Amino acid sequence: MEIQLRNRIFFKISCGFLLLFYSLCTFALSPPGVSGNQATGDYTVSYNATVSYPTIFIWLQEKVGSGPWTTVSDPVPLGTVDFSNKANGVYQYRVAELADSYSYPYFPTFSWSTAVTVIVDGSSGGAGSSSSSMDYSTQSTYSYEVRKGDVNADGLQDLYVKRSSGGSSNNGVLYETLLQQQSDSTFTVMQPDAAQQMIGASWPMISVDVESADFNLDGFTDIIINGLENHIAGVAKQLIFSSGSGLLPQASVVSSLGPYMHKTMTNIAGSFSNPNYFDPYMAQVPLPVPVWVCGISYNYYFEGFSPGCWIQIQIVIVTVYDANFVTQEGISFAHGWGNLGEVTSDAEFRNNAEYVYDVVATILGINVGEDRPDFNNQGAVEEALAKIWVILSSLCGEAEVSECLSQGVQTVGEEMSRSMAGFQSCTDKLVLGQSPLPFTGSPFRTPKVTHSSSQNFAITSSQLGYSAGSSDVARRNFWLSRFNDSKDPLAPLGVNVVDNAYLLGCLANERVLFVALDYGKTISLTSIGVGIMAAHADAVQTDFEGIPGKLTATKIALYHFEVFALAGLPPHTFGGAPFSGTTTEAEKTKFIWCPSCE
Amino acid sequence: MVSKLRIIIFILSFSLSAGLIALDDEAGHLGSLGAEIAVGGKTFSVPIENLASLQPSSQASPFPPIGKSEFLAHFSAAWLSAHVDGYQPVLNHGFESHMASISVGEQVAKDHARLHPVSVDLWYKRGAYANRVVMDKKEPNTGFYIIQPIPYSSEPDHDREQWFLSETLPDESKSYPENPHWRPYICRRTNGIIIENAKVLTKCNINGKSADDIFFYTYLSSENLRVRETVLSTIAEEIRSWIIDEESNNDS
Repeated sequence: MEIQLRNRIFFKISCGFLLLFYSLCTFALSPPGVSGNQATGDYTVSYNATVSYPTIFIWLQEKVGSGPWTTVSDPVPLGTVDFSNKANGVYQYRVAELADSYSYPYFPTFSWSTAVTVIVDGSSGGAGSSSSSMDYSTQSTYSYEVRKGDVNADGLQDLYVKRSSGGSSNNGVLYETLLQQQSDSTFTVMQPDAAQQMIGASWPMISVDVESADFNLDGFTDIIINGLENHIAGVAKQLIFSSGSGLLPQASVVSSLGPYMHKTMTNIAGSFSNPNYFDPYMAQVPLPVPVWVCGISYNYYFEGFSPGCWIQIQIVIVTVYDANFVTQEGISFAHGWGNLGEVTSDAEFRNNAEYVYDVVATILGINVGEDRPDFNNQGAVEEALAKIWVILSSLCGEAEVSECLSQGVQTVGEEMSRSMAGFQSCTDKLVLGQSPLPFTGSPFRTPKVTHSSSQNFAITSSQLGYSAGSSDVARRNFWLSRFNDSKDPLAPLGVNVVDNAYLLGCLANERVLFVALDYGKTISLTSIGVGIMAAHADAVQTDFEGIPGKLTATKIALYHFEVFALAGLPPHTFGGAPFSGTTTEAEKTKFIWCPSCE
Repeated sequence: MVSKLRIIIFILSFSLSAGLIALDDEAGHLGSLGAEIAVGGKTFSVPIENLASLQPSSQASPFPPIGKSEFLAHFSAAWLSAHVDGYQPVLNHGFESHMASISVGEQVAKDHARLHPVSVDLWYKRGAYANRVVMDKKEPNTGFYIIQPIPYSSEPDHDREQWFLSETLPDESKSYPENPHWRPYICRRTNGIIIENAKVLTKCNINGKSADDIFFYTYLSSENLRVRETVLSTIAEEIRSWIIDEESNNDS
């Protein structure tokens, strides 16, 4: 008995260790740096190997192509690893860390930095050439040709896509692929032999519009082919994903942006702008369900009561949706995302995030992001959610959902490409690092701002002085004071926007610039930021409801809309409501940008 | 756990639903004449022209923005010109129309019945407003006293100051007037730096009330402050006409 009990306790502790081993990552790790001639495979990777408590151990990891992460042997002196004569391919490096935990039961935490990519393509390029050739803006200039023919003589037109200019063929970006049409007008990626590739290359070229953007945000641009319906009846635009591996020039996945995608994105955008969006498509339907019932029944054979179990049909009322207007992923996303704003613990947040992640992966037919995140790691989960947010708001426009289309001068593809480029540029900033700020937390999410029950959120005289200013210095002072002195929930994001720091601060600026360009407006980020600062100060002083001066996401969204309107920009310029530019969306996304808002 | 169960039920029910129900083309809350907005225990039938669509550049949102207790409505300058004698449409970017944020509900009514800390501090010359400066002559065009919350600064960067307007002067030696509450308007200069060559404007936050539990605020340019009471009562009446809940209509 005692042994059994001990075993049980040991088992519980072991499970606890396994669960908590990969627990919350609270330390931002700097990624490694790369120097030398990356193109020829002769380079040095250096990283900060200094171990100081609570860090227990730091090491370098390498990933070749789409293979697993492996540990790199690092002889003394630690922190510098020389590589030479590396074979052609795509290599990634990141720093991993094992750190002690501050909280009971003190199991260590495992975390890692963002990865840096090295492309070895055998060119003479010189130091850093590979890195620049993999720059996102460079990848976006690659051009493609599209040909059509029937590779398997099934009567359905197939597609041959090849990069016609830009970059080396083995840099992980889509180079050459054959897409086989299915009976439902969708396509699958073929693994063609040399003969089939030659046949594809000989087909007649078709005139289509090819846009590039990094849809799964893995650092390798993907492409969208528009206008296929003019050449193949009933075929929608196709989203083709690069493999990210130098060893695989073909596409990894192809997704159709047809009726399913349009319907799903309409559902998602609708659910963001209207809390009752699904109601008109919903009905309660009685459903007969067989259930086992146990009890005492009268047995006519034996003429007496006896115990037993039997099947009984019970009517259960279930909620059903009209499949003409609602997709399973559309409604699943809406409910999953809605739950993210209602959770009460980080663990619950991560559980719901994993659910949302899987729904989005189903919508796109891929895994979003470079790797499937570790859903026990809060930082990784928040990064994945931020990516999902950007991807979907861009994809919504690409799927031509009316709510997500602006009335600007850019084409849908241009809008989406710029939006994605903005995200990529901002994630690059994370890698480069930034000056320390007075608040800690995930770089992908505004930190929660805690305060005492007696906290006064009112404007201070210093803040009034700052809010009368019109410079970035005034803006930064204002938001810093709002954080330090008033515990304003929006203050960390305010500072980050001024600093163009972290993901959300950078994205907010990118978004304003992107929409201003789209609407042909000449604006300055400082001017807009000053307007926002002043509007925030006014809103705090005119706030009557709830805790005076502690604003709701709705109120914050409202004054953003007003300031943007003053600059001739639409409501969806506000990064808290990129889908629909509504306060409802702002409330539904506040767990990312203002988790402590009222 | 409950939420996951809910999700599973939804997925299960969805899989049973294909083709079961036929519905009309659009979501029912948006008709050709406007939208029904349920907020704070009341339902409003908001005409399409009042649905929030920030002029001049926004896309029209097919659904009105809805918060837990508040929503946004749009009143065009043309509409106000037609309903308010003396109203001057200020044709500048973003000022062709007025956005009104409308708050509804019992809790909102309780919140608004409280003392407004900003007004009280301004009256008693304390807190952030300890150095307030009162211009003791009424501004001739508007008939308001001007209260500067902080002393004017001549620094070049200091050009977007805020001020308050009140018909009566604050006096820290007397009790704060509670019946009605002394509530000055808060104003700020928008000096045209957001849009090049835009006019220098002053916008003031004005508050109104449509019913015991319906409050709203909007912004007026300084040119229209003298007709503020008519603007407020006109908007209040319009909002009241949107209430479609019978009981609420009777109450009001």
